[in-house]
Amino acid sequence: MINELNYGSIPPEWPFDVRYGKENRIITDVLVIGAGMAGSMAALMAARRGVRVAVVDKAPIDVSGSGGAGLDHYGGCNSNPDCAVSPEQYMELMKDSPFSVDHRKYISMKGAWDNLMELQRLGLRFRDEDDEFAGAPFRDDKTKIMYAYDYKTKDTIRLRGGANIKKYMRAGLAKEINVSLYERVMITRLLTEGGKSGTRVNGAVGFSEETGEFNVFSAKAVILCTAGVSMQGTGTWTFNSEMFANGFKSDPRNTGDGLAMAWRAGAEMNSEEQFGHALSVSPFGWPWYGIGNADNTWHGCTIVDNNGKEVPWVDGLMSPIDTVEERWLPGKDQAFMGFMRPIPLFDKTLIESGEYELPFWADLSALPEHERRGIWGLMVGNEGRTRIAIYNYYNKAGFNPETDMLQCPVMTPESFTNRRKDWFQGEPNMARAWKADTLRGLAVDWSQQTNVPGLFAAGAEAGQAGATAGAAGAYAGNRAAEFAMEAERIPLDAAQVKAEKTRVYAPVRRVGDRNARIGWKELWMGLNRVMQQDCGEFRTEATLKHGLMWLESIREKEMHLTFARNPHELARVLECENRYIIAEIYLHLGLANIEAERAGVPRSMKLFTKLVDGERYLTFKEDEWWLKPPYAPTYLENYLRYRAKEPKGLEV
Amino acid sequence: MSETQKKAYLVPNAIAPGQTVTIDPERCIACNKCTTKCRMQTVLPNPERGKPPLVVYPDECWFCGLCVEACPTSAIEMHYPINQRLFFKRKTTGEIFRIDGPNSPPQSYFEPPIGK
Repeated sequence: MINELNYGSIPPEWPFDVRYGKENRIITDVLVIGAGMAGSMAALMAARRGVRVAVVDKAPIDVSGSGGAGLDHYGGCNSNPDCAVSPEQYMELMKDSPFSVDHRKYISMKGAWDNLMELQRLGLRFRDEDDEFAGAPFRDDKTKIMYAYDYKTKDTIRLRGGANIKKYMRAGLAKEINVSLYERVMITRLLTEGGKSGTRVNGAVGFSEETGEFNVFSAKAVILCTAGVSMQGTGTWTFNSEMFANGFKSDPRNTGDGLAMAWRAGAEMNSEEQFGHALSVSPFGWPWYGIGNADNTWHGCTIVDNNGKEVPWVDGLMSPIDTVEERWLPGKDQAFMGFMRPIPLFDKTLIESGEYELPFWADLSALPEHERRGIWGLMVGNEGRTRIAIYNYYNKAGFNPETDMLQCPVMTPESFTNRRKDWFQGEPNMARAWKADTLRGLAVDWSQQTNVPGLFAAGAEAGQAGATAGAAGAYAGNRAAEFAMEAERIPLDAAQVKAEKTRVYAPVRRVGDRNARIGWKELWMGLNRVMQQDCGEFRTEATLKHGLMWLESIREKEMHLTFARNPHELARVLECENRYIIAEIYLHLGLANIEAERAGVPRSMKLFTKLVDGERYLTFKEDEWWLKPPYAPTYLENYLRYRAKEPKGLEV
Repeated sequence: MSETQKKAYLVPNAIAPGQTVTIDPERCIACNKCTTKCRMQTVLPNPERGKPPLVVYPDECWFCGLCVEACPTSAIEMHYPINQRLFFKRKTTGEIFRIDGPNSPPQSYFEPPIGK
């Protein structure tokens, strides 16, 4: 059956009443933008402090965000009482590691266990209560908690039923009388005192993706919990115009709206330059978790070559391991596994010499039953987009984990030894996108507040992506509620609201203009070209500046010729306009890094950048400023100090 | 349509992939539940009441399958495009099949996913 819409005739009418420009005024204390893992918990905790909360999401909240299609494991749960490495120990052990660890990581890690208990109260039955895995080495028979990856450290908990995690969160929100939900509403701009950037945030505006109506929110505090554009990328360098969402691991509507809005409001960004090939941003990869591999959700799966020869394993520090059981234990010289997990095949010459022949195959049948079901059923079955799209789909297609092996992607020999990254996604080398990991999210202080007063951020947007984003959200929700309780309401700036309204509906007004022939996809492609050329593998001050000029040139011409024929297209056009801002930030950061190098700023320094009233300001701040006065000298002291106002019994 | 047809039409190109989601009009009860689970608005309600939802933006599908899960009458199916269907090998026989390929074996594994 071919979709009849491809075949012309008179197009059906938009199925909702269209009321472009109709204004709805909403007054709240705390406004939460984005209700994924972090935003949902932020809203819930703020509401429990007694303030009015408005929650806005551009998708339906029970399925929104990167966790909206499921979550199989809850990593970074070092605050679990049975975990062998406490959050404090973790911070100490990781302080010199290349992975970014700071107070943001600590906050999400420290609150992770309490957040999981809250999720349990909301209805998530994550324990093995039916004793399906009784006796399995990853299961604690007393608590019935099932661990993943590192069975000794117990920092990651498998989420039985995690496929529905967002449904429980939304149901929890719906029960709170002081919470109002605005779904399919896309926020386009933060409002600020006097309409200036850098002043206190006092609300936001956005439009309905169904009716096109315009919502104006007045709030005392705003929490940004939108997706983290830096972590997963959103097609800044490349996208596939006819199936663009396919290869994205995270929500394809992760378009950088939050960062773009925060940038326009004058928020500082935390930056570490890490350009390189894309991790999970290519639209040319395989279905996520639907290819043979041995990492993440498939961690520990036996891999055999094309002739059935088993591929050897090494531990996280590259020492050979012999038994299947050791794949889930830290290496003998490792304090804990962390991201340095055991991997199969460590030496590319084994493929080059022909000793192991491609393609490889992932052999679940070679695993003990509990590990096989642990992967196929517990992990694949609950992880995002696996329950229907992989587990049910593959089973129906005849795949049987007890008898069949799933093919691994064919890649260059190097790619197999490049610890997890390539193999896991199966992105072919020739289609691998470039990306910058420059943005590490918004810079926030110990209350998760940005440098813009009243603007809080939590979750991926603040560099806290992952399962424990909810814990960060819960913490930020409390801090924002405390802020709102004491803050005055600042009247909205009418001119700012009006200007944004004019901008938002411009693509709609262009319909019928015979010069307005540009659709959102072409606008996006234009951006990709700028970034491929001027912010690619080889970048100089001149190319970065050329890129900025190029963006401006497109903004002046083609962006004014881009149309939107319904609220859906309008959202896509405005998302693209945000992509242009994200690209601009990348280019500025590239220049900032060159400046920093010239100024002799050591690489260990963190670089922040912000925009104030259209002028770029750069400030270099010392590493670990969050542990220097006015803050307490340890993570724990700060954490307790900032939570001191929470009433007893309300702790998450 | 047949090769003896006398007419052809001026039509836009088909989107690739064109069939990310299909809805069986015989089974569909037009409850629109699938449309409330689609973050991309790939599936939208039919403006004509009582008619099956329309797959308006198949090119934007994220392949999350949540529309399939939401359907009370199993009227909706998700399909991976050709470039997303890879192989599996039956260990016992050495046979090679492609997911949704031409010779897929019948379903032989019926364990439900773990947890609600």
